[in-house]
Amino acid sequence: MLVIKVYQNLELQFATYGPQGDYHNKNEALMIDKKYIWLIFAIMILAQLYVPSKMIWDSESTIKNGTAYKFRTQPVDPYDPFRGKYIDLRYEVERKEYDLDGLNNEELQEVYKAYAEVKVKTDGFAEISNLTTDKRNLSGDYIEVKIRSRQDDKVTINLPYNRYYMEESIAKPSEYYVRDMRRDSSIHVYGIINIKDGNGVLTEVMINERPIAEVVREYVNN
Amino acid sequence: MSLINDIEKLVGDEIISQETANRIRAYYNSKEANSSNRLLVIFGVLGAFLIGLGIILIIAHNWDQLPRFVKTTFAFIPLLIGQGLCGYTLWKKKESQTWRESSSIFLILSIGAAIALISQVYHLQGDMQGFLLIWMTLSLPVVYLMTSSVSSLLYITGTFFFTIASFDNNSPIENPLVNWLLIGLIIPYYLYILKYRNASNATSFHHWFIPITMIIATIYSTISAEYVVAPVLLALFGSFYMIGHLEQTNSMRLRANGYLIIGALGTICMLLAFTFSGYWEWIAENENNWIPETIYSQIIAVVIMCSAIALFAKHIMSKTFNELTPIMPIFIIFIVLILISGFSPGASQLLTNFIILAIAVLTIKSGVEQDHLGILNYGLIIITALLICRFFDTDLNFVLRGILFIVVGVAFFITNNILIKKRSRAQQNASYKSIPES
Repeated sequence: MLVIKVYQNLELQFATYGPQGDYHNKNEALMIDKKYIWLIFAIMILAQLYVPSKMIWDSESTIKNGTAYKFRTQPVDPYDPFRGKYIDLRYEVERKEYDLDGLNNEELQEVYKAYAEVKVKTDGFAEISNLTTDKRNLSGDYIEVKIRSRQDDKVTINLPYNRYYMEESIAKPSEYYVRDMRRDSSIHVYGIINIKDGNGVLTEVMINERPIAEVVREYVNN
Repeated sequence: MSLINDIEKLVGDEIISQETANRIRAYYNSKEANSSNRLLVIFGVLGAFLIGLGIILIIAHNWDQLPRFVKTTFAFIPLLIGQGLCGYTLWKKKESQTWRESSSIFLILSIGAAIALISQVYHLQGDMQGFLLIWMTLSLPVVYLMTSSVSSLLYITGTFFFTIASFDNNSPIENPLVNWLLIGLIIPYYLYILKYRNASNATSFHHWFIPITMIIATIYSTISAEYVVAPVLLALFGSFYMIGHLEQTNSMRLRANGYLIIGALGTICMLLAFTFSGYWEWIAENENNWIPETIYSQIIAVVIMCSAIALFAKHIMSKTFNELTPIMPIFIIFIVLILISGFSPGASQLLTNFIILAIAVLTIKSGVEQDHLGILNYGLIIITALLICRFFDTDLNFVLRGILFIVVGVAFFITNNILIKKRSRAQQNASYKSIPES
């Protein structure tokens, strides 16, 4: 209906001004009829406010009600033109190979994502206890993961929480700091991911129980 | 503006009447107002752009010492300001193009800033493709509500980068119809400005932005069947070229007629690539890969082919044979070449060379006939490009190649010279005629 109205309005203007009509008058004309303009404007505003609000709501709800898991990790530093600097996290669980529903190499070629059940190991860090394509097989907390590679009837995965955005001056030093400290086995670097109903939010990257930003600021200042 | 200073004198000497003098004054005054208005629009747009981009950069700094709720609140401030400005413009300033364009651009950039900031605060992993899709979808109503052409260009640019991001294998959205849908959603606006703002610069930019985005979308749609990319792309370039030759577009200034230039250059460049043996051998050696993977890609390929054929039919019916240009039927000839290559790849390669040569010769001929130096030299440049391509083929004799180059070089001098002489002779004749007999 609306489309027809808009079109009729166009035709009306066309009839008024003619095909090559007066250039200045055409320039002042609004495309959409006055009657509808405020209605569409209101819908547009609501949509523009709804999308970011929904993003916040979903994340906050996962953070508040989800369970926090610690994933051992290692950072490197790239850059995004809109969202700024981030460290790219390589998780320990991404280096392991997993069996996926007993599928063989050929069948695995068609699989791009899977569900990973998360358990806490005895040392307090998280591990993937089960990987499957059907989430009904899972009982505990789980997250959706991408299949990264397939070999010898096994797969490796990508956790979809690789980006941790940081203040621009400490993203690069974070990478150096962790690389320098790597040989020291007493230092644990891990990301905290809150998980609820298959959704996860990466809330913090920690170095031995302290936020990475805090540790690296101290390191840069000394 | 010297005329305006001389008006008094001209009226005094009775060269022009008082009425004519008033009309001349009015003409210059309106022209001045128009150009200062245009400047205002340009600076308004530029200002809104810079402020919007500045906000995005400040957000990218990542103020990690601020608590989360403060940062999320900040995400909404530019958005609310942008919406407020647009609302105010619709309410009070809807006649002002400056207000409409700059408030729209500010709003669009602040939508991007809000999504970016929230993704940053929660470390949301969304890839570029998804980010651009949400951003452009939320920005589209701004274009229509505010009747803002610069926003429309921004939207098309976003669609272009969305398609570029789609090439990444990890992108979640793989259906090429989404790319075409995004382009299609701006077409009603495009038709609107074609009707009502035909002369504006922003409309001219659309004639470039839309075909370029379509080229990328076509490549993306057909890439799953590698062989199909070339014929479909040639059909697209052919369509652009024929659109550029329609009555409505043919009267435009050349630099505004993006369809014509993109269509002609695209066709020639692709043909030049096919004068090498690579493509034909590749088709002959590999297993046939002619059917695109998904039904959507098949539909898109068929639609592009059909529209090229329809445009060609339209041109055949509305023009005499002499008015048709050699580039128009290339996309059909190319399919014949592909069929021939099934028997002999070498024959197709050789024929492609002759086709380019024929296009060049016909172009030079039409340049001479129309007394147009630009067209003449365009034809010569096509021949030169063909020669340069052959220069890299090692199986041609050096002496032969040398002679060919010299011949074309001489042709450049002679043809240009003939045309210029012809022109000055015509001018002389004209000036003799214009001397009044006393």
